[in-house]
Amino acid sequence: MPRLCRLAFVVGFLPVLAAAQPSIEDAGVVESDAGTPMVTTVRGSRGARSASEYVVPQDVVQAAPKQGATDLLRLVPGMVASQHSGAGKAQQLFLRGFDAVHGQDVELDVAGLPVNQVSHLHAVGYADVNWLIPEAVRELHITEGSYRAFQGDFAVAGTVRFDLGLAEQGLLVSASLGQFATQRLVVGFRPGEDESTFAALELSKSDGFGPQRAFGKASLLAQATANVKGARVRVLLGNYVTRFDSPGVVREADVDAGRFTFFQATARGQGGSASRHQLLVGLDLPHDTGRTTFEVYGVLSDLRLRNNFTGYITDERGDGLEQTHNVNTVGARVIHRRSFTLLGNPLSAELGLGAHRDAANQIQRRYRESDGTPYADEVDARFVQSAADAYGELTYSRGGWRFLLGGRADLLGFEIVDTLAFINPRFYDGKGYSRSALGVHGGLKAGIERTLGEHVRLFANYGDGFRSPQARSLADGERAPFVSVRGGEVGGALAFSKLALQLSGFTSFVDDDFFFDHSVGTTVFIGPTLRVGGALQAIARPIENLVISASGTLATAHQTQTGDLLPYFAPTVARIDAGYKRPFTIFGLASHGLIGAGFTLLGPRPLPFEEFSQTVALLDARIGVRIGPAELRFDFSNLLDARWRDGEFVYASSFIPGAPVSRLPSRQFTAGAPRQFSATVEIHI
Amino acid sequence: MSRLVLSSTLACLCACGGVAQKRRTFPVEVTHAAPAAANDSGWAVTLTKATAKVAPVRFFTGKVLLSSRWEFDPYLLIGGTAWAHPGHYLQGDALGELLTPKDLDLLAATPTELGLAEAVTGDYGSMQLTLDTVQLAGTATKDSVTVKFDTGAFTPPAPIEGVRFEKILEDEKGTARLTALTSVWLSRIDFSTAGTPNADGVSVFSSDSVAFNGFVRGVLDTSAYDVKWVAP
Repeated sequence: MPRLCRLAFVVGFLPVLAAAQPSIEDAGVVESDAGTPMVTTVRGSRGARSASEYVVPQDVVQAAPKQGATDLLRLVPGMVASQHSGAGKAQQLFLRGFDAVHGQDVELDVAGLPVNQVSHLHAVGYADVNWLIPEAVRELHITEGSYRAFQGDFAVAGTVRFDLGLAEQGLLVSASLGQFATQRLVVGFRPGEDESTFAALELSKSDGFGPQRAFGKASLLAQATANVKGARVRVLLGNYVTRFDSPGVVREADVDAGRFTFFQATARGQGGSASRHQLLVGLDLPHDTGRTTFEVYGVLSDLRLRNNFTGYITDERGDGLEQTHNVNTVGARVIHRRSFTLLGNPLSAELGLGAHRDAANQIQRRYRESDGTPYADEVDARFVQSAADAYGELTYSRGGWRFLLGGRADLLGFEIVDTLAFINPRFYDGKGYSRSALGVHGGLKAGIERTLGEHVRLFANYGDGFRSPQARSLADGERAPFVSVRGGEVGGALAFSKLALQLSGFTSFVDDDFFFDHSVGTTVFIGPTLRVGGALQAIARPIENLVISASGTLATAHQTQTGDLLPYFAPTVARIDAGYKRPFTIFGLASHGLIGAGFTLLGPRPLPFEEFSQTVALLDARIGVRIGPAELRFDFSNLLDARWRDGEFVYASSFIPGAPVSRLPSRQFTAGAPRQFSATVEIHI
Repeated sequence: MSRLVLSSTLACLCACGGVAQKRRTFPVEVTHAAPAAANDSGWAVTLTKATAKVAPVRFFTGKVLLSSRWEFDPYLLIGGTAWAHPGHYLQGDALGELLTPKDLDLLAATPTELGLAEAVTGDYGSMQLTLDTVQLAGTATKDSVTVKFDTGAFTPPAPIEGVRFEKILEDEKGTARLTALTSVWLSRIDFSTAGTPNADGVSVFSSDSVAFNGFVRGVLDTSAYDVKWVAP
């Protein structure tokens, strides 16, 4: 194997191996075969300190077709991402036995920009990453569990960070045409060697694979990094807007009775719009024994959703629910990393300080099906949620051992004005009802790591994590309740030149788990819950230009007092991505053929009443050829045309106006996409 | 969507009585109990017709507080516990339902099967009964005065809520039997206000008559319905 290729393997596996990783984006100088010095930027997040910290490298990201954020999220080992309400709504996430709803148990971060929205009207921790442009995603850094001190609010099941960058230097123009009038254009450029300095714009629209599934969106991402007098400056800009339709859910009994079809849109006017405008400015200051990073950011985000998931069960005019949530976020963080020597052994320290302020307005109204006119106000509130956090993490190495000890404290302050808090005229004074609350959460992080030889590392970890409450659910002066999770894990990592493998067994205990029902604005505690499971991830590069990534997670989730299985979580999740490029030369042009596939398996999920959802098996594939600067590619999603249910739920509904209303919980589903085909022409100049 | 997921999750996790919930079905049948010897006004009634159109029938977790079993309250000895007022029936979660309407002859010799209820196991507390129409006819006698009557069809304006049915239902076989206590339907009717007989000699209650009002109040009285689980 040429030395350069060996270097590529080593660089590719460094984040997974993580035996001696740099802190963040360390640069080193190596020599190529020709003896010419070349700069290799080795990017990893913090070094992996548990068996379930993963990196999904760019060749794995690009191996199989990526239509958007859902396909990107499926790269996270053990994660199920369901997009059940249109192309612009945040995915429902499932990870490690948690039903994270729209983000309440998974912390999402894009290149330093926080994604989860606190106290969101639709769902706590609402995390919309539909603005990601797959071509501009360089790597995924995944920290499952809550074992690291940098993990903050919503890192209950884990943290996923997307790093951005364009793979190739120069100009990229990618135009796709697909079934259902799908059109997609991506234009991007990368001016220099540094792949993290780029700009990309995506414009896309589609009629969708069934009624009321049309969408259109525009997303701009631009990031610049530069070294200025020894400091590294980074600016990230993002703008996004979308408008999307949603078909809603279909009642299984209606399909069985022939009243509705599998892809039926059950109520009109569902869908919504979203926009997000964001800016991050960072300054990375290296010093003799470490580095200090300063980052400030701001996010303006708006969401309007219209859904009717129950039909006509609560009101004969229809149960349409319109939610608008507009939030402005500003925040800052400082991370100081430093290396010491203690008793002749290396000791590294990371100290993080952060704060952010989220100011939101939220309105929820019922609208009637006939013409979409609102007929009832349910929520009209505004709040400011302020957060400050401090964490520290020490890592001490001695011989083949490494010890990690950390802690984290988070303080949350809430100021709420809830105009409709009382709808009883005896209490309503016409000026709303304001209240405030404050809470502090402290958590411990600890880990032991043992290196055995060159290839094996063993880990044992403990960590406390938390999820913040919904602001509107808090009473005046209430000590803000947090959902606290205590997690433990043991596992190992094996790294060879052509294979890296990580295996872990985990458990998570939630003291007093609760759900926030945003429709009535109440928090309901369900008591202690326990998740137990195991995960495996492997990345293999058995031959040159072939990459295979495979992961599988088994989990179970119980309510500990009753022993009842929690519904909806995903007990079995598996994912395989494989990509192969065959280089050749034609007309003197460096060319290659490419083939790739992504396979997702989701085993039956428990539902209420001892029922289980159906197994989902999806195969996506791509094939293409690139000659010089031009690439022609064909992408197939759901190649085997599986008829599958993206979301399955159990609750009462009635979608036939005037018919006797069934109040018994029944199966509902959102139809998954059928086989879809698209052709893409890409020009790289 | 999250609301729905959460609600369903909670419904499963917080099932009353800790009974693990499963889907099941059970038959529902309807019968009647013959009128009492005399109603509140002293009329002895013989029914020649008792029909009803029933649907839907639903079963809920909510207990009927007014009909709770009496228990000794030691505070009674020192003045008793203050109760704001009785009632406050809350239907709670739906556990079973039968939506197909059916015309019934309540005078049938044997109970009439209404249909098979789609249901889940759990802690049942009450039933909701939707009567599309109810009609009685017969003779009422008092002090040698006999009135041939026909109540006319009455459609309750809303489902009859809070009919007591308390049972922890699991996998056992059986039938939910609804007995219409016609004595309660008839108890408030003073047949002397039944109105002028028609050409057939039958007094058909007019909707604004005192007799019809008594009939309406009897039909809407939740104590006119007795629901029991009948093992095979």
